Amino acid sequence: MRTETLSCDVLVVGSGPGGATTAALLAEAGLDVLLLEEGRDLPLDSAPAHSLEEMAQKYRNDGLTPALGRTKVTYVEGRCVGGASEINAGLYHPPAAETLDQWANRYELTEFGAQELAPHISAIEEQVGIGRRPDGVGPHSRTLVEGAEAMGWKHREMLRFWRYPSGDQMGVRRSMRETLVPRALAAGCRLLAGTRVQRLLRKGQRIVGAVGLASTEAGAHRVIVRSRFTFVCAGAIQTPLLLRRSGLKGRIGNTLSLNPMIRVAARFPGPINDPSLGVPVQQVEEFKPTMTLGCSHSSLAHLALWMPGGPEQRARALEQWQRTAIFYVKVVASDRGVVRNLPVFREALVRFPVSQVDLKLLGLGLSRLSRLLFAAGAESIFSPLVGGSPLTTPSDAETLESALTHENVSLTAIHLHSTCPMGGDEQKGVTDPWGQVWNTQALWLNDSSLLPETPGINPQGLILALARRNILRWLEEHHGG
Amino acid sequence: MFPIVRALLTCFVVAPGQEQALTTDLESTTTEVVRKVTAMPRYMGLGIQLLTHVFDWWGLLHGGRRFRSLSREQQQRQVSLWRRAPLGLMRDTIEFYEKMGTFVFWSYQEHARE
Repeated sequence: MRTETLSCDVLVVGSGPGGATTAALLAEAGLDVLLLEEGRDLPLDSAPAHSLEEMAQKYRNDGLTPALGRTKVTYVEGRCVGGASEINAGLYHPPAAETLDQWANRYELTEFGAQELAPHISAIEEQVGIGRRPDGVGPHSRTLVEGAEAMGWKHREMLRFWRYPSGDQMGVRRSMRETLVPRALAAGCRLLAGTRVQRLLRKGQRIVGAVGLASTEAGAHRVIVRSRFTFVCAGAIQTPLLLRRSGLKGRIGNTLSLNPMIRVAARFPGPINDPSLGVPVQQVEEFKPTMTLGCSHSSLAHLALWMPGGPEQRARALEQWQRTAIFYVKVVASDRGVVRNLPVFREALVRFPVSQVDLKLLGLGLSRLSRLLFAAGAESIFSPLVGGSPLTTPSDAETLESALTHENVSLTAIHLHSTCPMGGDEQKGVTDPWGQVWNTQALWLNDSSLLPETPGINPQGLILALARRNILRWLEEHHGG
Repeated sequence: MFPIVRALLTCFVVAPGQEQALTTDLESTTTEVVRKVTAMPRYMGLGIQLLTHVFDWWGLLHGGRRFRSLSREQQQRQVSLWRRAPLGLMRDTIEFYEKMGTFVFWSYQEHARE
């Protein structure tokens, strides 16, 4: 096999929010940056959002990545230039000041509190760009609002990493491939898409580069990179996996945190479902950060998953698809999972223990959501539980509180993080408060794996701000500011 | 794999009597679901493939023929049996094909409507 040898000042592995921020800021500071991304470099419109084609093009393993345990939890990872920012809902939620200050104290994170992160949060809002649909929310979101108001619960329209040029109601996603990756490239960064890093090269405790495999139309070839500094920004699953493959162990990958989610479909007397309006953006704030209620993408194919019965009943139920939409409950899990390499196989083995506490919380959330939907006028709610009957009255909703078991639910998870958390010492974290891996030289992490706990919100804004904070400090220390 | 998966998906997405009318849709759905099995993490995909073959041969005990060759009624009975099986892996196999087949089939239906 042909071998290509490259050298650079800084090697950045992964081009999601953390990696794109890292590459852009370092390249703009004049450093020779090489950005490696395992997935392909694809435009935003290469496939319709949430479609089969998009899953095949931009999701790792076509979106079929499970966390094993008594309860099945399916999660997804972006695998393309821009990472998760190319496929997620792009919701923007500024981190709560209280959470940041608690983390700063609990994990001895210097210069990390709300006050210290504020300028970075403002900068990413400005540089990446956030927006709100100019003509207000669609009927799906309005239903959630009506229900929340009937229940007396706080709700909020989420901003998104999105821009709405005049007259364009669908708007344009402000993903990393549209924002920070082009900035990095304009400043001289080199991007190698389709290149999977197999392991980091070590000389004692010092990381001196990486070995990878590049796949191009002409075939595959080995890539050896020699770097002075290395940043791994491959996300909460791939970052610990790469470190462990490279012989670094300890607590790496031991503290996976995620937000389990359960969805439910509800039918209303009139039309509420219009997928052409994009992702619904309302959320119920009343129970945050522990629990969030919201609306989900409700295409025909997604709705079909929630329709009970055989093919005939399902087809009949789907004739009413415009009156039916999907809603979700997302909670903060009480336990932590692990990420490990498997011998022979290259994929991660992810284990996550959904606890009884989590099931109770999800049951409570389902009950609350169902009551909200009935208050908003729902005719019936399709039970998300295996073998469950449709709910037709608010009192049916209350039965859900204690109905969830490990066997009768299938959960999805979003917002995976905390597999290599920052901490003030080796007992508290895998890296120091600025992302440098303890007991190594020239190796930093800068992605969602650094968060010490789940913030309970969409974390993309926090990850971008954290990455910016870390790189500006790094430049002060290593590049004269 | 293809004939087994095709027979399984017929149970989940094609109403009795519609087999002829939906032949093309069923072929494309089966092709995509089989492709997705190969796209899964390999340790999962190999497990699913093994269980799919076990499911096929199970029909020999249950109805005297492999699952793919049983009548529609016998196939439905075997699916119901596995859906209620005490072993989680058996239930998971059915759940996987039902969910994946449904999602892929209705994705194509949606695409056709557009």
